[in-house]
Amino acid sequence: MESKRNFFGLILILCCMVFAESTIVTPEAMQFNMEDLGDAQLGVQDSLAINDSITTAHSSNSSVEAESGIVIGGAIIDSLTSVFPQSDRIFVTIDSFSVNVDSTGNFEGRVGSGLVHFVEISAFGYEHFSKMIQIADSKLYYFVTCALVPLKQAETKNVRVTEEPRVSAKIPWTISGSITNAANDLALSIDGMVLYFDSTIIPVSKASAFKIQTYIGGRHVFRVVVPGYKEIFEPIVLGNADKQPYVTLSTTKIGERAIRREINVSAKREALHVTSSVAKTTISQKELIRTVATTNDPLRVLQTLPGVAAQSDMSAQPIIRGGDPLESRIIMDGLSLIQPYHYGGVRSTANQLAMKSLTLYKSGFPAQYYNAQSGLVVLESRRDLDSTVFDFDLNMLQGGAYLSVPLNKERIALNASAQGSWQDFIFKRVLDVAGSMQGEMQYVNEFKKTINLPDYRDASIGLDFRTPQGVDLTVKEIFNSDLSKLTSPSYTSDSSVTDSFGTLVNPTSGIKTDTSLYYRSYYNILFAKAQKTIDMHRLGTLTAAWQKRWWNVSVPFLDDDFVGTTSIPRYDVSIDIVNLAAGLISTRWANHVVNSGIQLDMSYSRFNVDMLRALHQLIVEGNSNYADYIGPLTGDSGAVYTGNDAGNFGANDLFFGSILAGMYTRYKGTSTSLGVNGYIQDEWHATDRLALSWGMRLEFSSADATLMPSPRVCAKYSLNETHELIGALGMYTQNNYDLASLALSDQLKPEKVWHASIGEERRLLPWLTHKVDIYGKYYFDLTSEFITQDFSDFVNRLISDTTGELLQQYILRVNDPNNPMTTEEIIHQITGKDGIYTSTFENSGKGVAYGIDYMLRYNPADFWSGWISASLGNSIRQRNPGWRWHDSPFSRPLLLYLVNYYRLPRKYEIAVKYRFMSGVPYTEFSTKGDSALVIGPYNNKRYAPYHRFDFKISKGFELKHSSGHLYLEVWNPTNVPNFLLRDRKGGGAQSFAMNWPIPFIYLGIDLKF
Amino acid sequence: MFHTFVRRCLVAIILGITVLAIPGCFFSAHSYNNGKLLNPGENEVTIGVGARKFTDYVILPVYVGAARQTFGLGSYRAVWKPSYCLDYRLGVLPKRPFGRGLEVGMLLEWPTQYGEGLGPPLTEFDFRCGLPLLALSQSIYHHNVSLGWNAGAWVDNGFFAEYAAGIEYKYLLPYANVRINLLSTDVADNSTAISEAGFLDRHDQKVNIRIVAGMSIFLPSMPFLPDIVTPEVSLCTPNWQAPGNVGFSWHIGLGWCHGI
Repeated sequence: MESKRNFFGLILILCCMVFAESTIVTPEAMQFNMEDLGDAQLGVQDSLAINDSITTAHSSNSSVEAESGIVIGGAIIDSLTSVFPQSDRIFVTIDSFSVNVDSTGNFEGRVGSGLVHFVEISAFGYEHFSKMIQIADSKLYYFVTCALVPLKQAETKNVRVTEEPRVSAKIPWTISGSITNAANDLALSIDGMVLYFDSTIIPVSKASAFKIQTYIGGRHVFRVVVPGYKEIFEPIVLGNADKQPYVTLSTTKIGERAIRREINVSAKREALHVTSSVAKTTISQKELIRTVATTNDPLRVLQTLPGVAAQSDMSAQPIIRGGDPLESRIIMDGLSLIQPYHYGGVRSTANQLAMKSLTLYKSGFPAQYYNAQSGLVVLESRRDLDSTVFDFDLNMLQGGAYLSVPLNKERIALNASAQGSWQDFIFKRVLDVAGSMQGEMQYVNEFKKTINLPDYRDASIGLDFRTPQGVDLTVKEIFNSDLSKLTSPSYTSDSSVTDSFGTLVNPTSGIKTDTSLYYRSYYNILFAKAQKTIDMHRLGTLTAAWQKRWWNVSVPFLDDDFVGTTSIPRYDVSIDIVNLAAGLISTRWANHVVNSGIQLDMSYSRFNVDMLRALHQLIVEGNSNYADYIGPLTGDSGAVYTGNDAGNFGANDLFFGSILAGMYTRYKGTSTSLGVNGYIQDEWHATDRLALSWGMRLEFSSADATLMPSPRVCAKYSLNETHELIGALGMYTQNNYDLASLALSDQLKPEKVWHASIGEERRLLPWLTHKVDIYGKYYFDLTSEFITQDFSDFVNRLISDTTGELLQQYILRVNDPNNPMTTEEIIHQITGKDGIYTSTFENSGKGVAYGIDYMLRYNPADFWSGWISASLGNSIRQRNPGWRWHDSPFSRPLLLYLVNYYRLPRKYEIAVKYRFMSGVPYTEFSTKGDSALVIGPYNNKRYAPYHRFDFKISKGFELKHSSGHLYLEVWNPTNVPNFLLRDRKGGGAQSFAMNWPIPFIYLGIDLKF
Repeated sequence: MFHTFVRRCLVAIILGITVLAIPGCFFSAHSYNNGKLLNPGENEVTIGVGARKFTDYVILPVYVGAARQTFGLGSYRAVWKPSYCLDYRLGVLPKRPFGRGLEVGMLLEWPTQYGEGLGPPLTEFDFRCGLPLLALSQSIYHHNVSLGWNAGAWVDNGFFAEYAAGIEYKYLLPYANVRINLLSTDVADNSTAISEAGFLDRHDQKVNIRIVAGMSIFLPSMPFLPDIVTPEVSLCTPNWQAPGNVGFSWHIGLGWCHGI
């Protein structure tokens, strides 16, 4: 009998084991599923889909599960490496009950009844981890990915458990906060709201704000009960580091799915209704760093976003939706910058290491920003008050560093950053190697003496304060410089000859090294910004800045070889701007966020410019479009220069270069202007689903004596939690004229553009979002240049020709029976060679742009992220009324980009980038007959597309107090000859572009202390 | 003066970046593909040295004059020339796409054969896809297929497909692989580079086959010393610069695992 009982007992136990095996998903099984999902690494498989699939798979056994209780399992990983820390000092508790952790970092435990459970982990060397799990009706198995955040090295000494003990203190903790709707992040204002702090009821204001004082540290729990909303439990750990924490308790309506605090990946995401915005894209510093082939220039990352193109590989300026480079504005910490580029646009002055994030607006511009028609790029600097930070990046082309040191923790911090290039040094060392390998050192030495590659240097230093009165103050000084001196050799036996700057004669070799181009450019910014939280509903900002940008460029090699040049061509310009601004953000009115302010800009410019028009365009715009260098010289339909038919007038060797050589831009003087602007913008959450944002700017500028309104409105409507409709309409103005147009015009008025944009944003999966924008733009009052030719030279020569030969030639040419020329053709021919050109500017241009942008952005886990973007559009301009509409310079109708980052085990990382862009438009130049030069209508053709693939492999490492990467970048490994510009319909090379010509491999290292 | 100056600048810049960068042509001889793939996050760096036989124009001294001048006759001869390579490989995926994961790699080989002399380095990139293992009686059969390209000289790139197999028995892994190359256009041929239609736009791609056999020997882990030694021989046909149109070379690869 006893043995029979034992037998049935054994059978029962086996059945239970089998049953349990079939109803509980083991961590190993889960890991297998997740690997299938995306070759993911252990423990980083946060996914709603996974949880859902697990729940669905076992829903049929819910009755059995209910008997055995709810199971909470999870995996522990290091948030940086995504692998299990392998420490023997990891303690896991579920509702205060200890749970074992296996060797791979997985754990599992059953819990009793209750709506809320807590998983907590204490691990040596890591911050305390705590996760609240809300129990849903249909779920019986919950999986938590516990990404532990490493403590900073200094804090790990003698620390075993990081949670503050729950003990009383002499100085109380003051907790303030508010209760918000998670759907829109706005304060809830509902009667009957009850807030518990542990078991104590806390009074809550009508605007849902509260304040608590307690002398007891350690762990506490908030409980929020709001009629019609989900009940929320939120833990807080009071530690000595923060005596005045601010807490936001967010809840969602009953019946709507909770979009925060869920135990899935969406817990990390903000609601789509909060984050979605018209034509706005934000890129974090992490994403900036992870993008390949940007030469650490954050603005080059923009050139992978939908609707944003590049002129060439040598330009960092974004071409946004077919606009002109000067129609986009760069804002740094609220300050509008003056041409923040090195060498006209080769790279931006922004230091990636000193930045927190970058935001691009292609439409729906916020009202506080101005002087932009095509795009706004808003840079936000880092602010590290609580810990010492030192980051640096060093590679074969350049290096950069950022340092922040708290002088008084959380009160005062000193920060400094620097970056610079050493292309010239590296280039010469490479030449040394090449010369010694090829036995051509003499030739190499000659090059080294004569060729100097341009380099740049940037530096900044700043102080961040946080006063006890709640004022955040930032003072910063930024200095950027370009310095380049190009020389060219000539051979002479005269050792006494000196160059234009009185130096550099080499009597022994007979090489005279003369300065060809001297380029100095500086940019100094001194600014201070103060922010004060006036009360719970108002935030005030004061900004004061002084910006000075100046250029000293001279080109001695353009001497008397060129017509009309009596002195060394130069570009001496300085611009001083003082910016003052005051702003106020208020949430005093329920469901409204009102942003208003005034801005005062005073500018003084001094200029003395006598420069080849092509170089002027390079300096001002970074414009490398060859056809643009002659500007509107040829009018609407092009021109034909008839070659040597006019030889007797001295114009027998006319070609494109000789026309360019005669075209100068000249202006000299000073300019003073005052701008006074006011703005107001109200973001109104009319309902839980509908948010409206309207704004108005009123702008006065003494530069054009105009008072301009600039209205705008945006709307977004939430179809559901994952689907948002967005739209915007606005008129934007720009009157920060470049100095040439300001100096060479009688009266200008602001350029204007109407933007209209509609689109949708949809979260397809918690980690996958797509966004579509359809846009249209209408530009008007655009500044157009007119070039007039001076005929006086021709007339004077005719008059002064006492022999009458020229007149006779003129008559012969006009009456030539075989090849007659008109007077206009003869004048064209002569002025083409020897003409004197004068530029003027008027507001007679118009433009239209329309298209569609698409972006698919994925971020399933920290180890894998990226985006795919596509754009299809058209951008056309009309330079003068009645003229033909032509393609806008640099407009590229089709753009396709891929950016991907993937981290492998053992801290290897692979990043790839692919860009496809339609070719830019160009003006056709051809010859006819023996020597006639035919210049086609402006921008009547288009080059063949550009495409390039780049990748980067990096290996992470850790040192005692730091971590970093060794990286290798390969640019253009498929060796696409983008430098050759061919017509899109085939044929030979039309021109050359400054695109990377060959595969290029280089190494670098970055480090974070 | 302006044009001379610009031309000098361009020449100097291109000379500089040409050394930093890796232009290329033709095909590689080094392989070291033993059929076995690296796990995700594992890497291997292989330095290869060897020699290849090809036709060179050799001047043979036949007379030394009174003033010690050398007079000679030139002729085409088969000669051995040294060959080097640097191969970097990184495991990426554990299973996909064909069951045994994915590995990426980059190979630099120099000098390549170029006309009658030694040409520039060659850069090659490839993706190796592991195929399911086969268990033999006392060994494991590893095999993979790979697709890749080598950077051509602007007109087009070279592409290749390869199958490699090896049998792992304790510390030895004998292997063989076969590759079919679609070679990039040789721009040294002016008629190819510049046509009536334009510059660098006439394609003239040829096909050849490379067969490699070798043995990977896994060594005990010792500081600084290589983890894998791989001797191999390689045949490329047709190889238009080699005697009999068959290019023959031998190499030894020294591999370090987890080197970088």
